[in-house]
Amino acid sequence: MSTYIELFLTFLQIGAVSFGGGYSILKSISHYVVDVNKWITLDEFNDIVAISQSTPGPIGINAATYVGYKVAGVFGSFLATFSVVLIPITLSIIMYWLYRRHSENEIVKSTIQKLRPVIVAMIASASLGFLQDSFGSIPGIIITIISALVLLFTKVGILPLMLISGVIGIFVFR
Amino acid sequence: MARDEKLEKSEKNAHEKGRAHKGPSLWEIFSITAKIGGVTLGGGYAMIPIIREEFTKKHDFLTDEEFTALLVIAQSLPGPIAVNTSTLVGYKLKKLPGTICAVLGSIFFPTIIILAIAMVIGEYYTVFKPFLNGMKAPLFSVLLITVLKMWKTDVRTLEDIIIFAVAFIIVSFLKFNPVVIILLGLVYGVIRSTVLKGERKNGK
Repeated sequence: MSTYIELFLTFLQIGAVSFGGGYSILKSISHYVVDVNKWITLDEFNDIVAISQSTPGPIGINAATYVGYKVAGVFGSFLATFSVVLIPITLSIIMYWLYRRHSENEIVKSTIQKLRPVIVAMIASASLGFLQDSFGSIPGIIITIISALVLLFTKVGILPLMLISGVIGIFVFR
Repeated sequence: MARDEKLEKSEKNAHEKGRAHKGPSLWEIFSITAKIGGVTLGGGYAMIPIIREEFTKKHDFLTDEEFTALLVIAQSLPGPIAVNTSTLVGYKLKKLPGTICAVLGSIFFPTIIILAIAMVIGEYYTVFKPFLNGMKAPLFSVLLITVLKMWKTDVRTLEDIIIFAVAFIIVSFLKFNPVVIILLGLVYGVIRSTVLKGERKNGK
């Protein structure tokens, strides 16, 4: 029972501060799931990020589903997924009403604007978790550099890039 | 203010034109969001034009203005943008049951797919591992370039740079809880923006 409660509270908190969407949630998840609770290893967490990038759905949902399953089976996966969206859904409905009655939108907007540098910092910090995958081997370093150039100078998306890199991985990371 | 008026106006317009929303059924709400959630890889902002298209053009459930007003709310809150938008669209159309169906729809396929992968991957982990390792190699670059792109729009003043640096260092190297740091950032933002608002009022 206590595992379920822990899973619920953990993903509830992670979801509550997942401003900015997408990658900004990664650092919160890895902090709780890898560093504090040790439910999965950093390597496994990185696997989840890679899988999430190539399947439909927001990364926060995907990570919650996967970790929930690892920790407490099928019910755990539904519980974690539910927990991570519970506060965003509740806040959305509250804001829907507030928004129609008063217009505090300016304050909300400028608050979020002030929060942006923190969000960018969380993504920068999350990137450090991938240093070993990217710079731990010669092929890794080559893929990292080529990926950066491809992303900067071409219109190739993240998904084809990762799939190609995955296929290369079959031959070089055995 | 302007947004409020816009929202009301668009509602009024819809009434005047005599096209009060043809109420979608709960099943329709679920199936539309499920379809969108099931085909959009990577999630995020890529989904927004598709959600808009489905609810305002293909099905005449919302006006474009109404959708835009909801989107503004969705963007300012925590949570995946697709889930927040689904919540609000569902709520506007069918109150709480609408929200539940819209959210269940938007996370239906993602959850099933990840659950299936989680169940299978344990058994064949060594088989998948080289492929996964290959897929992980570009992720550092992906995140770094995301940071660079966001930097241009989000980190503009000296104050922003200091906030970035402090948050980055204490979370990365001193292992502070990111959830707490984001909350502190939020509190700081609220204080700063109320102060700014007060200053502007006094200035006038």
